[in-house]
Amino acid sequence: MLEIRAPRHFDVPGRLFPRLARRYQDPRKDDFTPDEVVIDLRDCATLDPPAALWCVVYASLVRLKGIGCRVEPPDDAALCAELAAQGLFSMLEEMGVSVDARASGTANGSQIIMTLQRFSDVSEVEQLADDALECLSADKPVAGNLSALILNTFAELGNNAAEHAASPTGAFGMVQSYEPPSGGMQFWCTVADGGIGIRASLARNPALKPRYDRTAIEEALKELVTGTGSSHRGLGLFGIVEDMRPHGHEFIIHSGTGIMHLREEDSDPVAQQCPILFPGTLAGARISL
Amino acid sequence: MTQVVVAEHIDKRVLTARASVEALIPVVLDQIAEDGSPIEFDFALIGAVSPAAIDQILVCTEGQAGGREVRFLNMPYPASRVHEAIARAHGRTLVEDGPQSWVFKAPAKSHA
Repeated sequence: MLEIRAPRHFDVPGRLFPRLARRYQDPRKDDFTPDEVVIDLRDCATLDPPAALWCVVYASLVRLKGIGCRVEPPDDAALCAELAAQGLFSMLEEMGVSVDARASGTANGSQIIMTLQRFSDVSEVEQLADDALECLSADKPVAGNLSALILNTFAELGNNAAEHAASPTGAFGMVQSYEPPSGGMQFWCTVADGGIGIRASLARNPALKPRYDRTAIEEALKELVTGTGSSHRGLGLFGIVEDMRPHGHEFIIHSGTGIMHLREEDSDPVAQQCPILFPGTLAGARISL
Repeated sequence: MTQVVVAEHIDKRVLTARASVEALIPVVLDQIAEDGSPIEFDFALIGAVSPAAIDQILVCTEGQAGGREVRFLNMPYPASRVHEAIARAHGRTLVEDGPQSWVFKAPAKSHA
């Protein structure tokens, strides 16, 4: 049995249990053959959307192999209720993952703009963005340019996953808002897939040969760099970075063993080697008001 | 002048998929004026237009409608560096003509 135990503050998978890195395995590989996988969230006091999407992607790839998978929900009742409201447990159960969720608490802090959704083509992404716009307009009115930023960010990340990831289990995404204790409001747009990763996607273009996952991420953020070979494409991630950087927003991208965490103070996007591999690509933007 | 009110031709309030643009463009080509005048897309009531959709509009109007100025009216936000980059990739220049009104100037003519 492979048991993966999440930390108390489970924010992004790149910072997951580094002491267990050697035991961490890639469920996309042929040599991934445990008889069962257990994702243990019992100790978690917080679990951010990127971490939730890691759970879903990892579990989906495990189930794709026909291997049993079980998720132990957090002991914290409020967190458990929050994850249930996000749609995490129902999505896992839909994939055949065993979840013993006794969500009896009341969710605190977060509001759902778009529950966790699975999609596989750009038309579905557009429909999800349309539904999210309705939610943003009706329930939580925000300035038009901000809702456009949120929707465009989700759409770009979702389109990338649908078009370039070749994920055998599809892609997943959600949009949530939070009211942090410090005041204001934050929105998380998060998308993840269990596909080939950015390096392999770029390598489809013979002119690009990124050697490492981290260098592939840096390449992908540049203007007009694309695996498609088209002279006018390759602006999606470049545009997101342009939207995030000057306004104090935050952007994380984790693909394979490369990770980049962009914050306001960063002058240039610099990706690093990460001891924890993401089996596909995760991208998330935290947009602050 | 060819004028297209986008909201009248799509069933959503967002335009993010290239395929949706491809469905919209035949409407433009049906209406296109033969005098080479600009094409105007009115995005009133549209909440988001992705860079991919903007790029695809320019791709699709480069065929029969090539060489014309393309105007976007009532955009939900001001243009940014990524939109300027899209214009450059198509040999165009982007200028803002009043609030939420963008003009993709016609590509420079080749003298080759």
